[in-house]
Amino acid sequence: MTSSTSSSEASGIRRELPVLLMVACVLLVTESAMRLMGTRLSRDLVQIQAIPAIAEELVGHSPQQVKILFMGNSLIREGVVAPLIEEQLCRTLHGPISVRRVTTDATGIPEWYYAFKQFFADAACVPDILILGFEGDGGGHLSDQRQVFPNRLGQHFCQLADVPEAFEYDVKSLDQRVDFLAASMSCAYANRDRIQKRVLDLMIPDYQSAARHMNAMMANSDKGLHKQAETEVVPEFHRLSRMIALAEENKVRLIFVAMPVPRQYSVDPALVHVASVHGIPLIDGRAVPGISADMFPDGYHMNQSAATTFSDFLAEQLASSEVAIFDSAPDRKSKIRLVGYEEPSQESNQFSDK
Amino acid sequence: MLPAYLLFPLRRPIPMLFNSWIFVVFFLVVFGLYRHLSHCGQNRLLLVASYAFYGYWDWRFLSLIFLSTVVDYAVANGIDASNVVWRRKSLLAISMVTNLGLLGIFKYYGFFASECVSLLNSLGVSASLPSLQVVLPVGISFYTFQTMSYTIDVYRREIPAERNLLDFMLFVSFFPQLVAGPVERTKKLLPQILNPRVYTPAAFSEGLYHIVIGLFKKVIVADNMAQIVNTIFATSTTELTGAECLLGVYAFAFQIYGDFSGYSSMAQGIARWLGFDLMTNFQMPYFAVSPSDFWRRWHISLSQWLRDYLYISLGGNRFGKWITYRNLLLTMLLGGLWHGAGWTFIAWGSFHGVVLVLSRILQRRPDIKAVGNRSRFSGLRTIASQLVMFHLVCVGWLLFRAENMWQAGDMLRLIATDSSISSFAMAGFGLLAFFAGPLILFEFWLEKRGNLLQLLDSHWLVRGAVYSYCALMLLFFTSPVKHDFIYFQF
Repeated sequence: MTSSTSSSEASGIRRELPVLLMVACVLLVTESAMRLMGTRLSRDLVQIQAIPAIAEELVGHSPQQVKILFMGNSLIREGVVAPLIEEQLCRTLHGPISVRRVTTDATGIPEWYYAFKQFFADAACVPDILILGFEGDGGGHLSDQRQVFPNRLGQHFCQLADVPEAFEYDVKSLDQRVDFLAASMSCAYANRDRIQKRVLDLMIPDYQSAARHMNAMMANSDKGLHKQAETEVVPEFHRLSRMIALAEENKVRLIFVAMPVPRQYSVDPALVHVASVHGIPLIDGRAVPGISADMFPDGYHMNQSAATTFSDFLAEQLASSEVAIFDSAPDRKSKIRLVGYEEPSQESNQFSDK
Repeated sequence: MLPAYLLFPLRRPIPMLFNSWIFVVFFLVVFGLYRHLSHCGQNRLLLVASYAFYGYWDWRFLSLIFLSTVVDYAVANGIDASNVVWRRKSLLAISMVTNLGLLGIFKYYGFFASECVSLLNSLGVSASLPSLQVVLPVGISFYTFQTMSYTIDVYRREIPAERNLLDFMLFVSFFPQLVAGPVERTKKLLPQILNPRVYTPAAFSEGLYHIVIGLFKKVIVADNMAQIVNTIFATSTTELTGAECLLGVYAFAFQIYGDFSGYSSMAQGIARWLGFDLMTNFQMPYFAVSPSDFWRRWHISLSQWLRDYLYISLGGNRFGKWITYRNLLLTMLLGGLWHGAGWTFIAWGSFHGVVLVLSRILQRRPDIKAVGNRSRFSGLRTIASQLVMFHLVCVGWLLFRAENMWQAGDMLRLIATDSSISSFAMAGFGLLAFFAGPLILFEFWLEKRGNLLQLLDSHWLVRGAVYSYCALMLLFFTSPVKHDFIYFQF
């Protein structure tokens, strides 16, 4: 490159420098505003920011107290009444028990693994029992097919030390890695989907229902494509295995709960196998007596009455001898069975008789 | 012998998109090296980079580019060296057969074979033709047209044949415009490859402008419109209202415009930073006032190609009005077929042919001309013409996008007869206004000023405000689903 070329190029860049600086300033102001007012954007951010406080609460408990931590998404938030479970377990088991919940919207096993690792895998605040609530065919929230959101992992759930592990197992493509790194540095970038939703909701009438309709249509066309390609996705549980290893390392007992939703779903045999091999109770809450399809007002989450019924059911299951939450014998594998787990027939609708 | 699907697989791999991080890394590496090389080194680097860019999609298809390149290189040199008419014509025929043969095999064989079989079966003749299920090579229509135009230009003695094979290979495969154009003409691009790059202080600003606007058009306008379009065109027409059909057509008009002009704009910007000046492929096409005006603004490189190598070769307008009409119809029909093998593309091309012919007929009428001359109403007349033309183009887009002719017909009927407005349509029109509205306003301003690069002549605060808006939109309003460029499939 000749010197005249370089000087032409330099003068071109100099000409645009004020413009570029202005853009940088606007982005910087946006980033600062997001950092200052981010929690106003969504309830979810408030929930995420509350996780360290929940971990702190566990630190404060006495060593005799059994610490139970529910980890999940809005299904747990709307369907599990922690004080109710705590009260019933204390009454039934005559022991000090504390129940806490970590619920962040639209999360699954990738986020739960790193959230547990970052906030709870520490001797002081490690819970005794970790309960993961899931739903969906093929293992749903617990399977490797669960979509990974690199921006959420980068911003909220992973630390710098987790980057090699995340890059090795969870965030594999270049686009995902850039997303992950950008989100770990920028709050605005990490929460762009929330801003988008907020702004469009504010400006476009009926945006939410239109977005739901478009998402449903696109999901259907994706299913159609999969069907066309005749590629049957076999669910895998490598992430869950890492979660189990982490729990075992921290001497935390895991329990899986298949959550009730209005539509029928099957629990994948591979998930049952993983649970069985590691002696993890799998509580089948898909068809709880007293919960009917009309108790899901938005088509997905339980209403208050269903949540109470479900919490009663959970407390009962947790207190049962099959789960035996007070049992800390080293050979617990032999003592724990799958609780209430029975594969429903494909034809039957779990809510049809209610 | 290997079956075709092993050589050219059925699986559709992902091309390197300009709006992907892999391309950013690729370009930074290429640009970093490029700046430190001599002119010859720059050409060699660009050649390697161009083949790597295409090979990232699927290296096996590089053989097709190479074949097209080598054949046209040899043929053009043969034509240039010969004065014997039959020999020159034979050599030209070799180039045409090779390039059109590649297109025929990869793009059209499947369609025509299945249609022939259907036709024969419907006549009671049991017939079957061997099927060739291969993926359509990305950008094949663009580079084959570019090489064909080179050979024709040499044949017409408009340019000399290029002697340096490596430079010619770069002319065919130059990565910014390789897979979706513009279809550059030899006279414009080849000299830029052969001569040392000329940088002006404006090159950086122009490149930046094209890239920012191109990204906005593709990522914000096209990808967000794609969600609406895909939803509507995937819904059975029995479940759609007229307003939803209209929304689908309008949204597709902006999707295809944002997608293709966005890609062309980014290609122009990237090339500008490398020291090349590519042609402008779009010039505010939705402000066209007539069909011929539209084709002067839409996919300009293809329109000019079809005019120079097809329409004029057929006789143009030199042999009376009926031959002119025939030539217009044929050119547009083949232009439609260029876009894809399917009845909807043929219908789209034919529709534009008919519109062009009708507009020519109307222009010949003295009473219409007289109305056009009344300057008192010229402003209103321009707006009315623009609206009429935009809606005619939209009818074309409906034919273009519909899954089949039945769907197109049903949607047209619904638009004409059903006036109910659903909440989805309301929200959809809101999204259309939110994403495409600012682009329309910006282009209205450019149209008024008559200068595509008007923003670069504005105060830096104006430019800063426009770029900041684009940056914020790109930060917050990217579509959750990344879509391929539509024109990759052509």
